[in-house]
Amino acid sequence: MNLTFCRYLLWTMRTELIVGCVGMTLLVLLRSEPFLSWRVGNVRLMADSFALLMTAIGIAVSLRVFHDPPGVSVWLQARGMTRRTICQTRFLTGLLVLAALLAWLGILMSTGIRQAVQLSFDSPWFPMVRWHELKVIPQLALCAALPFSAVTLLLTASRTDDSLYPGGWTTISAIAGLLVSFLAIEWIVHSSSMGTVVAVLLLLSGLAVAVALSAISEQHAS
Amino acid sequence: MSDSVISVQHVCRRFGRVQAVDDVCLEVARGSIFGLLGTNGAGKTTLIRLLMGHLYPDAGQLQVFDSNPRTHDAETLRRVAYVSDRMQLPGGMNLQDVLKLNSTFFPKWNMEYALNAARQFDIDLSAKFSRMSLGQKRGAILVQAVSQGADLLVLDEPLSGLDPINRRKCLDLLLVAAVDQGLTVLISSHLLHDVERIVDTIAVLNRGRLVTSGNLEDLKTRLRRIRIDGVPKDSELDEALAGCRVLKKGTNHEVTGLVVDGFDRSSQQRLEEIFAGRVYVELMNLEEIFVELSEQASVTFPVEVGAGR
Repeated sequence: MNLTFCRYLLWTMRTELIVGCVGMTLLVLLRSEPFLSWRVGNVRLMADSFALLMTAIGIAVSLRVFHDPPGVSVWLQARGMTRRTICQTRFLTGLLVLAALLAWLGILMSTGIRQAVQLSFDSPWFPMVRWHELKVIPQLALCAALPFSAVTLLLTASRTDDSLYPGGWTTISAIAGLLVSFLAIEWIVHSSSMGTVVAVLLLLSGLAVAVALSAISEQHAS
Repeated sequence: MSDSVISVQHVCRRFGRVQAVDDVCLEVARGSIFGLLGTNGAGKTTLIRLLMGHLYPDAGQLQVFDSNPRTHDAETLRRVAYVSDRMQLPGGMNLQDVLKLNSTFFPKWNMEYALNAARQFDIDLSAKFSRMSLGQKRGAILVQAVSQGADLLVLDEPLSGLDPINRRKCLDLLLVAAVDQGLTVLISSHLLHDVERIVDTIAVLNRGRLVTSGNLEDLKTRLRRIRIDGVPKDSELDEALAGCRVLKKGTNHEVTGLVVDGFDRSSQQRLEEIFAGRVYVELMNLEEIFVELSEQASVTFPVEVGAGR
């Protein structure tokens, strides 16, 4: 991982990060329903807007970290980094952004900020659910990380040699990633701990395959 | 360590039905300024992208600094500075930000050199790239390339779209950097008058194939355009041009024009003996050499044949 490149990527995403953090803060603070129902595994993805939002964020972050304005990727490729480093840094920066968002959610819940806002609205759920709600964070992490991993995998695969693929490949990747992620999360959220284990394995395998693909692209001609 | 910085051996690359690069072989010597010339679609950019490791070759071997560009480590990649006409800088950044960023990307980055070079293009260090003129943007990209401490500079059409003043500034910057730092430079361009000022070696590509390559002065010495009044017999021409290779021949019954390779003093003497008073031998500049060596030029020959010098 190249820290300078990571800093650059975060700098290019600064507006989206600020808007995302503010939006997420408002949504979490103003959500009157507790996140508790997720814990018993009887809520489907389609029925929960927050889960869908996290899925969308996962896809958006993936597309954002892997997409540069026209001509800028040529400039970045000439900054003395190997393709593997570029790919790994983009992937890890995306994960860092998602982790930071989830950490911010955790802070809002654990420090009692959400509780204070909800109590001011006379919520019947607080302070009872304050600590229990934190258990939703891993589930939200999966909702974001799975589509991120799926889209990243497809984008990386499509760039082993960019001249081989048509221009619309990024769009196709995004749609395919969305579909795969949606089906996976539907199943994972609906099922129990076994689904969580499978999701983590999927996430790790996504990372492994992305790294392997970049390595293959470097070794291909040797 | 090899004396060639770049070695291309029988490289081919196809895009669908188009053979972009076809069995090209060339060598770029350490310390040379190498001009890669060709018409649109000749395969210059594809060859450069292959050299930069952005594309796979279908066949053949490419070496940059004695290793395959697809497998270069970060240290070797930092030895190559790349500039392309497709290259853009992040619109929200200014040159000061980018120079600072580069100083962490490149351990051998020379900030003083970069700041001095930037002054030549009248670039406001705090102005965002999105508000700069094309000349300033291209200048900013070149400033980065010559300041990163590279050993090889690869430039793909760096002068296209620039006005004469900015072209001259870019060329001066390149020349000074090449001399100061002992850089090897590979430059592709259509602007032959400009390129002729700085290159010492050229390669001409046409429809993906290498037409010729070599030292520019040697080529200028070897290649001649010959005009003979009337239509000489083939036997006379064979005798006069023994040892030369006729690249082109055309006649309009009043004048016969030829472009020959391998011309020397003895060829001159034989021509003057056989066609006394009827022969004119012309030197050719880079543009004329390029035009004559490219297939598209054949339709204009011998109409363009001018008076002898």
